Amino acid sequence: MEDHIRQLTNALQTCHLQLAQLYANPQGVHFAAEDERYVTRLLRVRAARTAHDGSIRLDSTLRRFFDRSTNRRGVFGQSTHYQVILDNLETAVEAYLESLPFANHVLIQEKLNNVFEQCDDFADGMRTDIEDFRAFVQTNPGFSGSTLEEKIRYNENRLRRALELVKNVDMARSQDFIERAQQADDLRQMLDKEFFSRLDDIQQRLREVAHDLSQNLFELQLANAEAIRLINLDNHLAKDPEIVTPAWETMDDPPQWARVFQGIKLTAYPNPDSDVYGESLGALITQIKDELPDLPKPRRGNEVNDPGEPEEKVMKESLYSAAFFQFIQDVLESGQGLAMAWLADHRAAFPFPDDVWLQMISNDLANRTINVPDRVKIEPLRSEVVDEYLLTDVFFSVDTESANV
Amino acid sequence: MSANLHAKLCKHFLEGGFVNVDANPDLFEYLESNHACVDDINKFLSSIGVTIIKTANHRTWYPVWKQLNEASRREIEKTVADHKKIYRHVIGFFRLTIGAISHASVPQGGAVLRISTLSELIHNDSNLIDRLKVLSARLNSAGPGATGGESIQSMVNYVVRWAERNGMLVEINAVHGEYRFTGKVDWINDMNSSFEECIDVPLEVEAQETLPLL
Repeated sequence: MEDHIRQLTNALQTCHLQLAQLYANPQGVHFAAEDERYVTRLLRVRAARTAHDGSIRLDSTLRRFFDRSTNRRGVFGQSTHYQVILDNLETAVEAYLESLPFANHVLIQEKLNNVFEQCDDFADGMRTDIEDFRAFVQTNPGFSGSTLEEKIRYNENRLRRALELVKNVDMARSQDFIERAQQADDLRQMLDKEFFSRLDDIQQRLREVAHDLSQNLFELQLANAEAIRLINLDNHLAKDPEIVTPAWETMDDPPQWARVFQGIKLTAYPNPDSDVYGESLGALITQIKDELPDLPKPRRGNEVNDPGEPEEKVMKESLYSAAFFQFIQDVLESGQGLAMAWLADHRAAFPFPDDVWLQMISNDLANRTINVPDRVKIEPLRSEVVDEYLLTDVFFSVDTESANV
Repeated sequence: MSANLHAKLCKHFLEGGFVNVDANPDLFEYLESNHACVDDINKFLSSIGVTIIKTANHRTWYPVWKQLNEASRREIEKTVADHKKIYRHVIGFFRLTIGAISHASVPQGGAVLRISTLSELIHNDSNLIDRLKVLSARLNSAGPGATGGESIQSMVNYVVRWAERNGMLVEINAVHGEYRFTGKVDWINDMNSSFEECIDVPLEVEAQETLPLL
């Protein structure tokens, strides 16, 4: 037997691609010539069958196994499967009873084993399917289907099948079957232990799953009703552009939703004197950078031979400015000085005629652009020349009183 | 922890916030399990004439004016006037999202909306495409701002941003384009119920009977 199972699973493994194709195409597959040997192998082990239209289809028992393994549809709900097992169980019980008169212990044991296998198949299979399905229902309350109507339809179908299964399990307790089961001690003990005692558990699980399904259905139908209300409201508002909403605001007792408090914008400021914020504020202040923004660079023309950035122009100091600065330094040092007398001693500093020197100082005085410290007093000196009273020199002196302050 | 939550709740309600069971689970749970806290908050808010109540579906707490006086009535008028301007748009937006919401069929506080699911639904339904275009055009004419654009995706993005700006949605996952409806939606649904009581909205399909439990 074990060798047979090994050969069978080897055959299935060899044909795994074809098996997958058959499962994915329940209406049948017309395989190409190169797949013929795989198809022959599947047909030989009865994993596939030839349908009336010549296509190859997956065996229904194997399909249900794959369904359960992939949790795609769940075997749960296909009550015919369990009905078949129940029918087989009755047949196995009959076969056992018929074997008793022959007193062939090997044969009797074989028949009893068949009964056991049917009991185990039914009870264990149903328990597993119900638990798988319960887990699915609890984690996917909306079930499959993209629309609410589809979800409701799926839930209704599942619920209907759950109720059918409850009935099927009840049928297993038929009086006739129970009477037949009492006819042999071994059989009665076997059925009590492996079948009847497990039926109560199965029925309880089924009731719980049906309850969850019913609850889901109830909620889905409520949800569907809500969705329909919303759709109708939207249609109503769309069809009637002149519709006016009720004047809730003028009612003596407006509804609670209309009294909603819109809220106020809360603004607060940190207290710099607070110990709580002191360090944080200080840290924030040090992080703030007070850098001057970069001045925009002058745009250059879009020349091919861009000469680059122009050289920074350095303004040269005029001879007059340099000489006058030097003169003022001497005045500050000595306490006083005459502009023309100083020039006479410092020709190299300003190698221009005297009247130019005097004129430039005179211009600065007139324009108030003369650049001297505040403590330096300036006194223009004029003399009568012919018929005119002309500027002949300028006396600079340091005010000692303000200098000492 | 409770003192912080208490302060957080007071500030939240003072700013006109909604506390929804799914959108603000910690705050909601604290309110539900702590009646003394509800009383304290109401005592605090009563100094400005406000109290907190639940929406009809008991899933959202929100602040309301406690008494009707001149000041509160002016606020009520303003609220209703503001909302009347956008009411059609709100219902239109809710209509679009049916079928694209996780854990609910119609918008309610806490439900999750994924933009990709919404776009896919609209793409596959010509009726919804028309609805989207109408809504996008209405919103565009209602106020300044970027237009909805020509493509379905750009219009979907536009209406979702509008809903976000109006406090109905809050972004929870930018990568997956997921948004959560806020408690404000429960408040809007209460307004829907009031509206339906006042006008006669014809029912095209009657709700199905529920199956009895086993």
